[in-house]
Amino acid sequence: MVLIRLTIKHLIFDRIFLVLTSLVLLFASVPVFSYFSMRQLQEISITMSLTLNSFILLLMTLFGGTLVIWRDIERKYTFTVLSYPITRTSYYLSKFFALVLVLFFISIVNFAVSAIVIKITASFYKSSLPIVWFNIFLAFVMEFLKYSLLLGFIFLFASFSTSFFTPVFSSIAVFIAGNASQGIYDYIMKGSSELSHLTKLAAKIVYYILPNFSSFDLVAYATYALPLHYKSIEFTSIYFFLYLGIVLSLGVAVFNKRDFS
Amino acid sequence: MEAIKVDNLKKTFKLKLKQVKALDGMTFNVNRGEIFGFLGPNGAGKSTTIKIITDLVRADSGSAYINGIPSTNHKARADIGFMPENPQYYDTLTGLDMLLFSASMFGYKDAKTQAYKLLEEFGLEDSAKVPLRKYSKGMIQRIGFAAALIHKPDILILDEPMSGLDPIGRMIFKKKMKELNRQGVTIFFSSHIIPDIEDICSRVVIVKDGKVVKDFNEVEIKYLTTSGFEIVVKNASGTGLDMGEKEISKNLYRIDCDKGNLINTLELLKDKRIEIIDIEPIKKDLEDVFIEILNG
Ligand SMILES: Nc1ncnc2c1ncn2[C@@H]1O[C@H](COP(=O)(O)OP(=O)(O)OP(=O)(O)O)[C@@H](O)[C@H]1O
Ligand SMILES: [Mg+2]
Repeated sequence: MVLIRLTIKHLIFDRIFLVLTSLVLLFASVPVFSYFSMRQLQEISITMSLTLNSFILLLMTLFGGTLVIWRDIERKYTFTVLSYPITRTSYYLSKFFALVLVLFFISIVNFAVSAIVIKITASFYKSSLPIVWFNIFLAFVMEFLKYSLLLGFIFLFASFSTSFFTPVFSSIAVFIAGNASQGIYDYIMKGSSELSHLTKLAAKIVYYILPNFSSFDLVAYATYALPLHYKSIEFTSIYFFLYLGIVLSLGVAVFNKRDFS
Repeated sequence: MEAIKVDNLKKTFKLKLKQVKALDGMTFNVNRGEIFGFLGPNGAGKSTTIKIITDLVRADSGSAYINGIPSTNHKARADIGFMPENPQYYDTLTGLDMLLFSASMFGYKDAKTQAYKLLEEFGLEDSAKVPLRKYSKGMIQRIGFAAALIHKPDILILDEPMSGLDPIGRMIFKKKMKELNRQGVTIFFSSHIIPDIEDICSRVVIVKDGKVVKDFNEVEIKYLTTSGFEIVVKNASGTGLDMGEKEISKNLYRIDCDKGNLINTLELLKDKRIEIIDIEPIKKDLEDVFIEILNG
């Protein structure tokens, strides 16, 4: 608990964190940009808000992950922190959940600011579509889950690496691959039978190993007020918890094995 | 039960191209109430041993215990104060906050009074509210020592606690260590600064190449530096004594004899009925003694 509190305190007093937080101000630009679109003001403002939220969370995740775990290892803070009577597991998880809490808080702020921005923008030009706040809210929740999972990867990579680049760039790679995997998988599976069974099998394996980030994407549902598929959201949530559980367990296992010297 | 028990630790670091054998059967016990000096040249394996005791590094084989609890169990560290070599602390914290954080990690309540007391004792009261990134090396060392003490541990484990300290700092540290020891705290510390060890240790273990080469208790440390004796005798002329005696004054002669040769010399003097005026040990530098030991 002490460690969670301290981690959060460190994070929010960091200069880079303040810079990233100030990106929230960018939400102010949403009405301006939407205005140029003439007609679809409401739709564009919802998409832009979600994209901006996503962008802020991504930077926060990458920066926070490195600050919170990698820097502790790099600067040898672990020598003192891990010599306290705590398990490595509780250290690792405290750090992780401290950051998840921060991401959660930022998501709430972003959602609140977005709500205001969307309301203002939508009032400029009457859209034929209703604003379904619940869809927008769920889209924010799913984004939050997505970046929590990405954070799990940063922690996993940081658990065995000593360099800055491995965790950051591996995580970015996982992020890109995880966003693209659904599309590529669909393409290969639908593709003609020219592709061998082996290719399809390999694609299947890679598809199941990589996190499927695109299933967290509810932007279209939020923007166009489409009816939600609750089954698939339910599935994605379960998928999230299982996947995060596995990534965290792996990270903890590796972290428990390593030497700090 | 021993405060710390180290049993046949082996550890090889695997680097990309080569392997470094850091520990090769390191074995010793630290008994309760000792000030235990862990002495050895650079690369002897002191820090590696300490990191295994504090579970930062995992041994390839062998085991370490604190208060009988295996070092791999976090409960082993419940009652220790630890300061690593060149310690690094969250540098955005102020000195005071760092002490309070440290105390809270041990579940030690009411640390504020204790924190101020320690800050004053280590001459840091003016820097209590200054973030650690503005501390000098010696100040970090001092706050690190204070942080190791804040929760009143039974056992202190310190890796080169006095490196980078000025003479006043050294004096404060040694005084504090002695005082704590009188209150029953067991202190285990590594160093390669011999006078520090000589001043305060009740036990010294010398390590080299990852294992113990010598183990001295307090009494032995005291006599370790005696390399021989200076015997002053009277009326030696004409007795046919041939021991390289030198006349130092009228009718007074000085004979130097080696440590192992004292009895023989005394017997010879007794046979010749030569009167012995004084016997004094000849002291060697402890430094030289250690270098002799380390050179085998
Ligand atoms: N992380 C590591 N990777 C590779 N080799 C290491 C590592 N840590 C220590 N060593 C090697 O292990 C040996 C013992 O090192 P250790 O730090 O325990 O020595 P020491 O007695 O504390 O020395 P010093 O007095 O310089 O602090 C050295 O040869 C060192 O190079
Ligand atoms: Mg060392």
